[in-house]
Amino acid sequence: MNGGINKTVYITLKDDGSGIFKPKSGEMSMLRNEIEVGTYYKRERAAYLVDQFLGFDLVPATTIREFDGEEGSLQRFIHGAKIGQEMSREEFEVTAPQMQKMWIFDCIIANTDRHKANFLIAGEKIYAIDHGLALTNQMYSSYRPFFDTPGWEEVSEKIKSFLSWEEGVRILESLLLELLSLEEVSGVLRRIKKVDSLLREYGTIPKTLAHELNLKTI
Amino acid sequence: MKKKFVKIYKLHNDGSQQTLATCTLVDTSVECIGDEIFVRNLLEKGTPNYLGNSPETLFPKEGLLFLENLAYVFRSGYLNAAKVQEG
Repeated sequence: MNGGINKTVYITLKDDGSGIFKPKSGEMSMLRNEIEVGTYYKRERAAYLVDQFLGFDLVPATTIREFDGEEGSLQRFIHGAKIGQEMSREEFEVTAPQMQKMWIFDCIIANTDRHKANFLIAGEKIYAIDHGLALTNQMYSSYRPFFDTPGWEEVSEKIKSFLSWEEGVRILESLLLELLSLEEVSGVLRRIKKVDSLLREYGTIPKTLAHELNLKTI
Repeated sequence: MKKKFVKIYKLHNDGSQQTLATCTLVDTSVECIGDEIFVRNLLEKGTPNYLGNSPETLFPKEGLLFLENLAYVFRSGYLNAAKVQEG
């Protein structure tokens, strides 16, 4: 496709919709010092797995495929979607609860790269995309934080449900270890448990404890 | 006189791409034309800076830096910014 410093390819699958393919070989280096180039596509898949196991339903289905001898991530294309940069103020207001859920998802996957160009809206549903620069264990700055806000009941229930499913936790850990380092996988699971404990104890994510989720609050 | 510019493309359902906006360096600042909401958000909210640590957000007044940074911001496939061209 035209443009973009990372190579992206629009792919139509026979009888199965279409997707965005991001080959490993097309990844741009030096976007983040702490994230090795050649691993972005695996992080796209890892973020999708975390989303699915938590039941957040934010990330379009993402898998790893090989096309024309190149390995990369393939993510379902959302038809008729606009990106955040195209959203009006009113559309932002309507989607605020989903934005809150996306923010905590980003905390869990330590996403260093969320801004208006990497989430979508289709109808009134938000989709989180572009997770190639996520799953770091470094401290990082967050966008529009929802610290100290109410309204975490749904998220809290989903996280509790996931953590009480011991086999599910083991399966997720095993799947993530195929994609990420042990340290990165441990980091994700640690942050899920930390979010759970913060929501149980405070009913919110206190700004004063942001560092426990690797977040800078400057 | 030749001017430096960047085109931002939107991907449609059939896989085709269409120019959503064009940003052009005019003197020391950048001017953008195209989709009204997109351009307003771009100009008012700026973009995260991928080319350095400071400032964290780039605005059109940063000129060429803002222009060069667009290809790093819009790279999802849904919206892709081309590299800086001259013409």
